[in-house]
Amino acid sequence: MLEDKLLVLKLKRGDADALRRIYEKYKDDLLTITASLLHEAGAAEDVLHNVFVSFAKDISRFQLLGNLRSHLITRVVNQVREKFRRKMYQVVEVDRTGLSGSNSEGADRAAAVGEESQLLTDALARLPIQQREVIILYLQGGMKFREIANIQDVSINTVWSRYRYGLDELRSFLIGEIIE
Amino acid sequence: MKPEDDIEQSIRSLRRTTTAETDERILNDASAVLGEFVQPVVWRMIIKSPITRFIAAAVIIMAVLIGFGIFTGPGEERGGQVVKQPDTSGVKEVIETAEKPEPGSGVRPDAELEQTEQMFAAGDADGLVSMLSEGGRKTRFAAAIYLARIGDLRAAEALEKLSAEAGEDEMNELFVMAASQIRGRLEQERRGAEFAKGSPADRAGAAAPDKAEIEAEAKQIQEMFAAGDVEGLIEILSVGEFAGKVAAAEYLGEIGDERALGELERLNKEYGGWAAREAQHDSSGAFAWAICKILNSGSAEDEQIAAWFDLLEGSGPAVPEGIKERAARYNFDVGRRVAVELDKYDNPSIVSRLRQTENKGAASGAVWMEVREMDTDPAIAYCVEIARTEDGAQRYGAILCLGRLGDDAIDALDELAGEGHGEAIRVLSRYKGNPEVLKLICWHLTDNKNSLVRSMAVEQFYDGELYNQPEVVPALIEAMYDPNKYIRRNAARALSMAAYRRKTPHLEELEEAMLTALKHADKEVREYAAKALEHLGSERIGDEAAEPPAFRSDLEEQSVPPLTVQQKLAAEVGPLEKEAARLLKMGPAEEAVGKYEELLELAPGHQAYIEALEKAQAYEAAAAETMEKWEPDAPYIGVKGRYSYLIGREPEDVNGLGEEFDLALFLVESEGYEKALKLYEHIVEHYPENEYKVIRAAAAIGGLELSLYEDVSACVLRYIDIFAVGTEEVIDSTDERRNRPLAQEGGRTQAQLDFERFCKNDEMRERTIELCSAEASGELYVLLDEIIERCSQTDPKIVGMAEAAKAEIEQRQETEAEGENAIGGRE
Repeated sequence: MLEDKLLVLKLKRGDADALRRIYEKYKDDLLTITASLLHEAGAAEDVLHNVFVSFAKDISRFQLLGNLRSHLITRVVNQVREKFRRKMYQVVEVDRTGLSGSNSEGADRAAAVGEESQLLTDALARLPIQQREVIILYLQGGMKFREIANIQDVSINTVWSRYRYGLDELRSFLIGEIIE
Repeated sequence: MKPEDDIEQSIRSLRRTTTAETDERILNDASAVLGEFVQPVVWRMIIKSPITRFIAAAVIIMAVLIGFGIFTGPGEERGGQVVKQPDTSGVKEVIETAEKPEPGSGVRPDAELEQTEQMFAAGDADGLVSMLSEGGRKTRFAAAIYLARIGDLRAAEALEKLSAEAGEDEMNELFVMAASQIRGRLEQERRGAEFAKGSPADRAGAAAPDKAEIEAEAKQIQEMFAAGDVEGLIEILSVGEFAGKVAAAEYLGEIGDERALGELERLNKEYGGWAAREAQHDSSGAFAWAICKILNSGSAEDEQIAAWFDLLEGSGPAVPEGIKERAARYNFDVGRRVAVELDKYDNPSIVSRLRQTENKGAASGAVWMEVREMDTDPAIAYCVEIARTEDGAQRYGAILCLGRLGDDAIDALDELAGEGHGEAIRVLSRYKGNPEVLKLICWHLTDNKNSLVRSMAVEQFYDGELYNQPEVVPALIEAMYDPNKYIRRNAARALSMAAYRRKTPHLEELEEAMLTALKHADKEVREYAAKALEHLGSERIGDEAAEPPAFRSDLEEQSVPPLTVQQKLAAEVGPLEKEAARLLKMGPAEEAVGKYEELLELAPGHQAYIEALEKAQAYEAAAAETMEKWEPDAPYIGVKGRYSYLIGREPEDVNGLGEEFDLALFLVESEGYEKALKLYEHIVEHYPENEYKVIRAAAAIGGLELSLYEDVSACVLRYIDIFAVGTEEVIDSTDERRNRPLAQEGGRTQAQLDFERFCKNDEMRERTIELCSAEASGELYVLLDEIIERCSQTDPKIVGMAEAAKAEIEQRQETEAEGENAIGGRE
């Protein structure tokens, strides 16, 4: 993580290359997490945009106390929540064909991520947001349950329950898809 | 996807990536705001003038460069000396990014700056020194930074002189830092050169003329003092060697003759050693000490004590003008001398005041004053306790003090080093002639987890005397694969010196290790390895060598100094305290009791914890007392206790469901919405989903989420969950009678009737459809599809309503689209 500390230090001095390096290093992870939370590629890119712009904006006050990746993921989660709170984002319907939103967008996405992945991301989108958050942050964000508990401001037991119930639901969604 | 597939693994492997256009857009926008916000707020507030900003940038970049060890390590060979490749990175950047000074501030054109840069690239230290006095401010600034990298003693002296002349000018600190950097580097080079000189006899021979001169001068000074020759001593202040100046100052201070003040003040400005904060072979505090001593020679005792403490605090007449109080306060040698001086007074408050000082030199004296009358064992124990419990200067002072307690302190020092106190290694190294201590230092070099300790340990092997000890070379070879680059490079450097000296019994092992190190991942280590093989006269260069091992992963790359007991406690207590407070507020109370008990074990007698524990115990007791008889009019503590109990419950059956439901309802009525929501969530998560009370709880959650968080989609989804339950599936686990078929109701049960009456009713249907349709942006209408899909078997009525609402919305959208097209056509 020393590299991250150096990058942040350079960034504080206005080094655009450091910003580029941080972006290159974490953009795919963050986009994957955001897209899984929002289930919509365009909105996910908007969140990624906002996260990096606000990160650059706050850099003078920013102190890297722990892990930069976790910090950026937390920013993503806050942005996603903000999007939901402001009702700027809709809970996207998942139809049984596996596509959502406009036909062209759905087709593009299906082609891009493959049918199995599409089923899985659609199933994820059907979970309650809190369960979805836990599953995505744990599996894709690599965060610990305790860190997620801090983000959600609940006990670690609740996080664990959400994770377990979420997986059960996912499993039943996916079985349902296959039977049909 | 097959059902047995590992869902977790599949989710992990989902990947998304951005397009090049997205990358470009995000980076452009983020870079644009970066320029606006890069300077810290405090920076903007404090540093107002362009010049000050400029200097502060220089000081910070200097600190950064020093911190990153830019000045260490080999570069190219030049004239037998290892020097860094000229590298203007960092410096140039700061020079360019620092705001340009106002016109008329004396700054020369940028051509002058370019010339300075060229001098640096050419290694022209003399040119840079001339720029220091002749250049504009911007140029002087650049020259100081460049000189810190390549300057010699003359440059250091010039910088120190300029620093003294700079007075209150902001460049003072920059010059002091640059001079200090040069002196540190020269000292390192001197040690390195001593290694290279060959046998100790050679070194002694080389040093002999200087030593003789100094000894003769010392003798002369002694004689002057004995004869009361004040004028002679003052002359020594002007013309003597540095050691002579110090000795003369010390004698003049004892004599107390004011005629010496002028020359002492000059020396104090020039050689005051104000940048030296830690113990080194430094005696430059003698001038400030002598001034203070002379000025107070006739004063009353309390005035004298006050004057010494003033000096220690960086104020008073003995601190030269232009030296900042902060720099003066940390001067090690001044602190050491002041502590010795204060020790002469019989005043009990002195020790306690000294034990508060931030000056490391004074702190070691203060701890010594406390322990010197003790027996050795308790004295050692006391020093160890200070090292563990106190911070900063006092910790440092205690470890230094252990060095004054003799061999008996070796175990304690070893233990402290094991805990991450690097300073303990420095003290241990005084005994490194003792083979057992040498083994300990080698162990800390290779096995101490803390990088600060290991780096201190590797520094102890710059002393060429040790290479013939059997433990040293193997330990240094191992240290070449340390995760910390400073340690591995210094280990490689020491080995290259060992190779030069050929004083190790491990020459073959060394040659083999250095051949392997030619493939080392660290370029600087490879360079030292090549140098070592050259020193060894190896004929095996080019031979096939073993692959180097990986860097050690079991050691810390960058450690921090060990926490004090209080800091450890704070680190441990902080999260625990937060969790305990949360549990006290939101339950379960019994877990809150446990957490507060843990806190009290860490901080016995803490009043706030005691009170919180009592409160949690009261909730717990109330929960027990109100068991089975909770009623809406129970006293608040009973409600809270019961809530705590229920929320922490992992239900194995449905016995608690009724009570949870009633309590949640009570909490809603009492406006305890958040607790009610938590309790309802607990119900939904823990009981069967077709249970009547669970369905009611889901409806309540939807309503609460809507009113508390304005979360329309969450609310609607909860309502859809309800309509997706078939009436015939509904049961009431808490009252079996309510599950009996009622003949007059066509075989339906009371639970099912209630479900249709209170949950799946027309009002609820209309409300749900309304929420889906009435969203201003129309975005939630897609939830109508969710209703149509999920409720087709369980509630045809709402499905019909959803289809109608959807058709209406689509019709409206089509009409709007046609209208827009018509307008577009007309335009």
